[in-house]
Amino acid sequence: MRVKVLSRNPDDYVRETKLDLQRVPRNYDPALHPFEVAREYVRALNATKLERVFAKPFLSSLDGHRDGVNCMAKHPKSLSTVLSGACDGEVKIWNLTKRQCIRTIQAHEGFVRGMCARFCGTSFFTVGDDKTIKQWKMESPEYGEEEEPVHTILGKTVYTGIDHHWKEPVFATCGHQVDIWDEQRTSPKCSLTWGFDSISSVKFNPIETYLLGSCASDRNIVLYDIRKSTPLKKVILNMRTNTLCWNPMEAFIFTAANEDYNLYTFDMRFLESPVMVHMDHVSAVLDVDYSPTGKEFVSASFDKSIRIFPVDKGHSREVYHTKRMQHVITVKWTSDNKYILCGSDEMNIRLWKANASEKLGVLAPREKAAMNYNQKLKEKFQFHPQIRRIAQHRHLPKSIYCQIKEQRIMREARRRKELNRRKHSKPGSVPFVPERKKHIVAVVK
Amino acid sequence: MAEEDPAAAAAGSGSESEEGQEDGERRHRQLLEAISALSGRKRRKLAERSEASGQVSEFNVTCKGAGEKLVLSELLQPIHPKSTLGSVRKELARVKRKAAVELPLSKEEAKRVVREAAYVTTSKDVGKWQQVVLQNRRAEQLVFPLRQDIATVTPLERVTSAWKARTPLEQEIFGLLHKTQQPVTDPLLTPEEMASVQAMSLEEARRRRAELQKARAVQSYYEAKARRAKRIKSKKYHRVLKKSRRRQALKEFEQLHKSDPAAALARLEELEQLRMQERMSLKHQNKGKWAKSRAIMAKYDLEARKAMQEQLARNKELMQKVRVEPPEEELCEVPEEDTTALPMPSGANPWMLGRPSGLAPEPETQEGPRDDIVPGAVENKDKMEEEEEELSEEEALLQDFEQKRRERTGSPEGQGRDHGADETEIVAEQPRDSPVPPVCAEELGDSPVPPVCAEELVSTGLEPPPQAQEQLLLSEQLRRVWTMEDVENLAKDELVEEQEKLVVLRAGKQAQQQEEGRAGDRHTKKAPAKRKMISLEAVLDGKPQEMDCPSLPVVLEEEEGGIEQRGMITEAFAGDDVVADFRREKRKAEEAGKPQPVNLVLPGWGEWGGTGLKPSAKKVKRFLIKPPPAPRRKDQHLPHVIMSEKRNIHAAAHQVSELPFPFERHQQFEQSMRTPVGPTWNTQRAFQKLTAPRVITRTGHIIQPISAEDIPDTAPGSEARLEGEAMPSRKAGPGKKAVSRGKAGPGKKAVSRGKAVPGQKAVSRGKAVPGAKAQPRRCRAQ
Repeated sequence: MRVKVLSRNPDDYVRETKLDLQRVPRNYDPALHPFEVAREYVRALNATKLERVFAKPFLSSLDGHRDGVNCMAKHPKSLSTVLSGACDGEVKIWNLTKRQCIRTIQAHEGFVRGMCARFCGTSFFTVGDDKTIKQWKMESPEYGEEEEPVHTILGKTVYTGIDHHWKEPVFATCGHQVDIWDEQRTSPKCSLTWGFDSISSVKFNPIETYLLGSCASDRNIVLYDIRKSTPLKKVILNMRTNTLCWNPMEAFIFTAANEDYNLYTFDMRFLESPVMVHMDHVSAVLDVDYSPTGKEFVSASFDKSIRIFPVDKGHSREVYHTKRMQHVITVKWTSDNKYILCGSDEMNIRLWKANASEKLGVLAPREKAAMNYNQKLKEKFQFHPQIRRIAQHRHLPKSIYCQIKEQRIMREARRRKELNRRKHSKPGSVPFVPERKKHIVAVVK
Repeated sequence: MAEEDPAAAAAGSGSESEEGQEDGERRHRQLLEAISALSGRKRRKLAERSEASGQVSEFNVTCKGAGEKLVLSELLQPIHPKSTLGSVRKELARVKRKAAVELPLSKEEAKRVVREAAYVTTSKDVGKWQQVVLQNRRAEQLVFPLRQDIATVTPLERVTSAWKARTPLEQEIFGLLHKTQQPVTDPLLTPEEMASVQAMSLEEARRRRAELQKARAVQSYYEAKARRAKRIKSKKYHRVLKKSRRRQALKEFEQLHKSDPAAALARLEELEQLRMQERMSLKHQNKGKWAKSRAIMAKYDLEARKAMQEQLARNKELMQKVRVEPPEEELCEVPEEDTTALPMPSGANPWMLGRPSGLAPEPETQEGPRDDIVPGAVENKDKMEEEEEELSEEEALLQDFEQKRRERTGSPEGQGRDHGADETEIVAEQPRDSPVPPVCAEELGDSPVPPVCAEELVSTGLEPPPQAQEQLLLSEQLRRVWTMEDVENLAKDELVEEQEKLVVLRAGKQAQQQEEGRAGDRHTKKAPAKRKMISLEAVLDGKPQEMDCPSLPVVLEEEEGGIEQRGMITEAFAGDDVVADFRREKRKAEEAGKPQPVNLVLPGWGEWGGTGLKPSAKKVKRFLIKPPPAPRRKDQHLPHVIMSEKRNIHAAAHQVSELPFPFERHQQFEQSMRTPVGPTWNTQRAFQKLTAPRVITRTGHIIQPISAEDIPDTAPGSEARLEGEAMPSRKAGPGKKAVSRGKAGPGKKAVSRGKAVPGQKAVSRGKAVPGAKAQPRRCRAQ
């Protein structure tokens, strides 16, 4: 005969450490856990509220520059190092963990127009208003050594931007033309021109590294192929593009920051119309940088705010501003996808969280699970009015708020006028032009 | 003629002396020509050769092919008559056919052509990423950095080798270190340390550890097996096992005998020793407890007697000082050990092993006749044969045991599995039976649709959602939100706004309703169906008309000898008549739902007015506007249900008023709401799966841009796949594009997201939690 005995597996009820919660065997019978939707809704509501309460994105400000910060560069190998160049020709290297300046170089006379780090992280390049390109060592000089550039190239014209190739010892500068340089030589390998106007920014494609994009002040964006050393195509927009940035995960996508308050995401294979128009800024957009995951980008604007846009959305998901932040000239998204750095007119570099309400530091597994759950709930109930209302609420300074309102009115008026015109003219004579097509003047082959 | 000069010079190859002569000749020829021209007829001039010379002048002989080699075939050719001018004519014809050579392109145009060509090739090159990009965009989860490489630590030597002491302090410290002969730079470790480090490389250590682990695992398996075998209670099994072991030993011994006689002899000696010991122990005389009991029993029990005899025989056999075959010795030896080992409380007699016995629990018909033979007494040959026979049977038996055991252990699992499957089936069926889910069941049933749509989605490629539909993601305000109270106020604002909207809406709606009422019943019935209102209400508490609440209590009553309890209940609730109350309530609701007549009568209008005067019946009749009859109530035929079609404002504030973008039908949306994701309703694993974030990044890791090596399906294969991928052609017509974007694009996306994903979720949940998905309605009814 078999005698049945109570037998329990200690794994089911013994906790691993004293600090663990007591294990409770669960019964998942839905009859025991009614009102699942209602309960989850309440949880989602609470999660959303907490997210808003904990949304404190500003971490710190790095001060030390004696003029407006004009450009920044990320260190390709070190997350804690960031470089910045100011309008007085000073270059500073910062340690983000200590939030300190670790090195200061008087690099140029006049503005530091552009800077970039070499892909290996051993040196960096700066260009300035003094018509020079300088290469500097990343390490600070040894004891008794002088602070001077490794190489200096004297040019004939002012260089307005520089970018380094992602894999080879080649860099590109822009000014009157786009020059491709070999690091070893003092004259450019080749010069690419198409039209005659000053080019404000040049960027290498991080994936297909032979591709190069530039934007000039005659309102165009030009793509180049440095293998064939030829320009590829030119697209002319309504207004000038200040900078562009390639998506680090999608080889053919780039985003251009335009003077007309908008950003345009293009697919380089179809330049006839942008894939997406991102509008929310109320003044010229001065800089843009992609998140390393390629899902979002951050833009800096003359309207004293920075905004984060999802790549596939036309409007921003986040806006950052502080009372003291003036026109933001440059912005960078750190390579670990966690922080955003912005340099502005009033000599400060500010460090922000990319995710405003994210908790920093190491999370316990349970904490992480709760966070994921909350995230999922917010996502699930995002369409419910109350939750949406809370999740979307952002504070704006009065100036921006009023400008937004004003522009909304203007846009509405324009729309109404067009409608009226269409109504009172021959059908078909006033065509509907989609928003994406409105801003493109021409594509030049 | 003049152009012949340089030709002549060339042919002359520097014969300056002959030049004068040639000149003379030319003049002579010119003269001849002039004379012939005078005659008016063109005469073909004959080339004549005056003298043989190594250097043939071009004037007499055509110098065509002067430098060529002579080929035999060419010499043979003149057999056919051939005009010498043929080739020239051909050439002329060809030249004539050709149009004039085009002008070279202008510099601008040439550049443009180059650009266009370059653009086409480059965009094709870039287009090979299309597939990867799409895959990443659609991925459920992306983990960054894409390439998880192990952090390598640079050895200290390499780090320090480049470093030099520069400051005075550093130099001083280094001086000290040098003094004490510490290894400073290059080999940072002393030789002994190096040796110890190199003694076991990481690789080797790893291998070693793996081996050890394996050995340990094997050992534990073996132990577990042995333990299991030992636990088996079946005597027959053990008997058979023992026998097989014995046989094994025998075989081994024989082999030993063949291969190494000396060792075999030693072994034999040993066995003999054992036998002697056995003999000395006197265990086989009838002196033990068991033997005594058997002796008593022997009178009555045939079996016992048999056992006794057997033992006696054994005893005799042992006592005989005969040199028996060693295997027999061994055979005898083993059971004896068993006797010592086993306490033997019951009838399991080691001596009876391999014999049919009445005491044995299972009747063993097979072994009976065979085991009668006393092992020692039989000749070797017979035994061998028989044993071979036995061997096969034993093996069969052992296998049988094994199988039985497996069945016994396996069966609960199998049953469990079956049970689980049943339950999941039940789960799957339940929603189909239940009244609400038909919608979702159909949705799931429609599943062939989403894949198709997904494919189409793929084909549409990077088509982004239309911008027109997009809403602002932020509502920017001048107010700051600091605390929870502020946040809650935000929600309240929303509520107020919503209510205001509602009031306006209601005013509009009433008018509309009246109109609709006039239009007729049918129309009104259709109207709400058309409206795509998602009510959280419906999701939250199900449809009230379909739940039958009394079912549970009734059953309880019946079970517990209801009369008593019913009496108690009636006693307790003697005062209140619930049923009547309910009826009254329903009547009231019906009254309230009826449209009220509008009284527009103004007393004193066209008549005398004053206190105590009533407007005349004519006026009343004329100005009392009767509304059209209300549409039929839905609860008309449901006596104990009140259905209110009024919208609850308080709930409305929390409800979604219009179908959000990616969803196509409100059922999809409701379905997505209905599936809970929390740990309260899901197992740990399901919960983790459901709440997995879309993008995972690792703290402190640099995310490099994607490169060809990062593509998961290995670089070469993907490369090949990428190559095959043509550049997606965009539709030419803008009109077409607009259509595809406006309708198909988002719609498909909606389907794929709204349907497939929730559906999958539901399925996965059903699997993970058997029985957890009983109808949602029932639980709400309680």
